[in-house]
Amino acid sequence: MAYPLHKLPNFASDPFRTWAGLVRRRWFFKGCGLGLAGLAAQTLLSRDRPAQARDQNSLAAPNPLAPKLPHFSGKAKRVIYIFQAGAPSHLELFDHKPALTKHNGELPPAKLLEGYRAAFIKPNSALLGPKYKFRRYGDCAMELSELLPNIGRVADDICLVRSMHTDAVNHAPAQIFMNTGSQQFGRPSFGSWTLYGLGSEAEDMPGFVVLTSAKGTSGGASNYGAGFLPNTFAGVPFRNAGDAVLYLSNPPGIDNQVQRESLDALAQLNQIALSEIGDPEIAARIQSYEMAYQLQTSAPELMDLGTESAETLVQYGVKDVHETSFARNCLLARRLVERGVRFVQLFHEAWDQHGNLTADIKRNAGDTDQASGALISDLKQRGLLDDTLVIWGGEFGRTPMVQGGSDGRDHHNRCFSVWLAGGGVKAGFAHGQTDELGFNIVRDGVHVHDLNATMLHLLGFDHTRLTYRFQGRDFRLTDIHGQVVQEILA
Amino acid sequence: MACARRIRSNTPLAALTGLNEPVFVEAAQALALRVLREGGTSDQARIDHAFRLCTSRSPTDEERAVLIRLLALQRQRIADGWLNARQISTGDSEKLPAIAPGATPQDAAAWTIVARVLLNLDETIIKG
Repeated sequence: MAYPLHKLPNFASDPFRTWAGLVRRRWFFKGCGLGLAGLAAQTLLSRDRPAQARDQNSLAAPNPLAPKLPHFSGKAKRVIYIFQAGAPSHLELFDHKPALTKHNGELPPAKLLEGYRAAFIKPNSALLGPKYKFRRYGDCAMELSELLPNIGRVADDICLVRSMHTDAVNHAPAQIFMNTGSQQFGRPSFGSWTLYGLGSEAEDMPGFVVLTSAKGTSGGASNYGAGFLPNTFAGVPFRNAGDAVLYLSNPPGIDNQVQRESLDALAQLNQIALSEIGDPEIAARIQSYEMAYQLQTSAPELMDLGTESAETLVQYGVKDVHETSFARNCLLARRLVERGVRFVQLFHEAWDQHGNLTADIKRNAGDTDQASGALISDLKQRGLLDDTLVIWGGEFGRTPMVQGGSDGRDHHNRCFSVWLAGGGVKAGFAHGQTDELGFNIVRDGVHVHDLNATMLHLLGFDHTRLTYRFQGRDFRLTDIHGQVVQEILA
Repeated sequence: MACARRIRSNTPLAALTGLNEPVFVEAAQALALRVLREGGTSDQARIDHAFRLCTSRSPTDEERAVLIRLLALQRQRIADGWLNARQISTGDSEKLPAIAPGATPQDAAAWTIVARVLLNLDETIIKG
């Protein structure tokens, strides 16, 4: 929205002579900055942007989170993204390599290591056979680790991609790359692109909620931030200890009517500033205070797991309803999507087994397998799986070579595994293949940008057309890359 | 040229902190007492003073009218007995606020509510 011409400042009056003119730094932005930039932006916007994107950029839009239609009808209406941060070993969990057992203790072929870079180890380290056995699960006979019996139980509902690869070899840049399509922070996350494109159906919950367990996330808030999109589209992280959301109660003596009337006055004042200055972040601020008011009643209800049956709690493996755990977060994820939340992202950072691989990966699988399987069954039973896209995976894989003595693996970006379920992905299907050592991809490689393009496709977006203009060009989640992986679509 | 910026935090959680966290609430109580002490005697003078303390500028007529209305609404509810003036102005229904001569606990409570709004203005938070 351009600043109205008749409200441009009167330069002849020389506001710099007055004290008010000196201290009102915003006068500059209001009168000079956005006035002219806004006119320019208006021209650009009206020239070559689709109508929908134009609406989303408009400052006059009453609610930036109002539900919107995608480019075409997508199978997935909402997303639960289970980010297993720290990089789970594909070799112990998803990608069975008997040859690695056979060559255990031998050095890898020299040819394999040409141009290869690991994060810590000398690449020319001995190969390490998988620490756990594999089994075939489901009618589709999907081969998965013995550590994942509950994910195995839903094997016929999931799509396993064994041929993921990424550009980054360290946790923070690789996590930010998976989530934003860039290794550097500052880009919108997949969740915020989703909200930008689809809006939210939840009136009393944020459209994008982040839940963490274990160590949280190395990539930090960039993993779920809005980048250059208006901050209304950012993920809202619930706390992983104590109360999920703090300060839900009004201060002493402030009743609900005072709170409401105070927020009405606050919104009116912020609205005056918004209409004068036109900064979309002011709209985000107004929105955040309204959502805060809603959360004062909706968050306690959401977190009260007393309404869940004992059977459900047992299925997920929730031992203590008051204590944060991966299992409780999976159950909360289902409760959030039931309440219309568009995008729920779980971060469970626990998988960085440079050492103590045998014990720690077993413990991590024990902490996550049951609830992961239960979530899929529960969504299915409630009729939510068809239009809910679930993604489960980390930021890269782990080296077929040993790190340390005989019980660790380093970071490996050449291949790793993720699985998806629901939302229009092919069920009971494994895609892609790695070589006999689980080192390189030999068939159907899926780059991070390809995965993101595919997930946007499932939500109904052409990833090349979901754009936002920033610093002079249109940005997208997949930058200038990405191919939809047709083979994994149902 | 590079400009490192922290991730923006205007989320609902930041809003709840600004509204309800004890230190923010105490700041609103203290601002109310300061305005009653040094902001003149009329509502308009006090609102102008409080607004300038928060944003470094005077309010427009439109902005002032919003705050006058909020002040009047809350004063009425306090006078009618719906709200506990001591509790709002000190956090404790047994405790009296350290008010300037001539002001009442009812004034301190009504101004605490106004001050809480001013401290949560976008313009106050980002120091526009």
